[in-house]
Amino acid sequence: MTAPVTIPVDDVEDQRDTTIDPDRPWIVLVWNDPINLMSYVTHVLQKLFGYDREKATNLMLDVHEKGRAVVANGSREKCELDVFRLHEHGLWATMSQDN
Amino acid sequence: MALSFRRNGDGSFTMTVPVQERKLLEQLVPQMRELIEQGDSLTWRLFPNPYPEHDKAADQYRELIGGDLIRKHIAALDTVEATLGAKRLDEDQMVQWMQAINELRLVIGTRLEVTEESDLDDFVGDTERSLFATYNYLGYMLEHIVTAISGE
Repeated sequence: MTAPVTIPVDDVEDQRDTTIDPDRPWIVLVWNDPINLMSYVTHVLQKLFGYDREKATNLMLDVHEKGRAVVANGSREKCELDVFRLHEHGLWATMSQDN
Repeated sequence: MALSFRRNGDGSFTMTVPVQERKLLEQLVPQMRELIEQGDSLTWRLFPNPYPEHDKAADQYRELIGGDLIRKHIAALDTVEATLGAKRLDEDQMVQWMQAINELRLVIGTRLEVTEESDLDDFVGDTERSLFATYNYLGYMLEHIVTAISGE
């Protein structure tokens, strides 16, 4: 029998708490995934952000080829709303503070 | 009657969903609702972490907004269920169909661990092969809906 292994709590709770700087703007990223259709992603970007077809297609291709793309930016509140709407449409979106 | 979605002049949509496909959705939608309500890990793609670099912010976001996102995903399923036999949809209903079909693809794709190159030969068992066929069919359906909505 193998003895149960005790893992120190600190290792389990790998808290990533990068400090949030209230003055720095945010960016919204969309990540590539193998499921969402290219036509669907393009349509959602056009619809949510008002981008024309060319811009939305280029962003979609960036996501597809480079693994991710910045699709929007702004205040934390605005980006949270953008992320919410992207999640509502099933896109894999995250937000980060702009460097 | 082949599958079709068409935008009308007044902004509504005319929809034809063959009976076989309607039955498929009738089965899938309640299963999907249950997975969401149970917080099943297969539904993680519907609830990505918005703050991968900030755990506290992620927790707060989930607490404040997580419930709204669950309700949105379920509302889309409810609309599909309520309008399965409809011939006409308004624009909001058509958009909810699009979202619901995509939800189904995301969860089935997660379950099958699909890649961009997946094809039927990658799946051995009958259940998985039939699930992959469903996944593909939902993709076909979604393409039609996107085309009808975007008018291209």
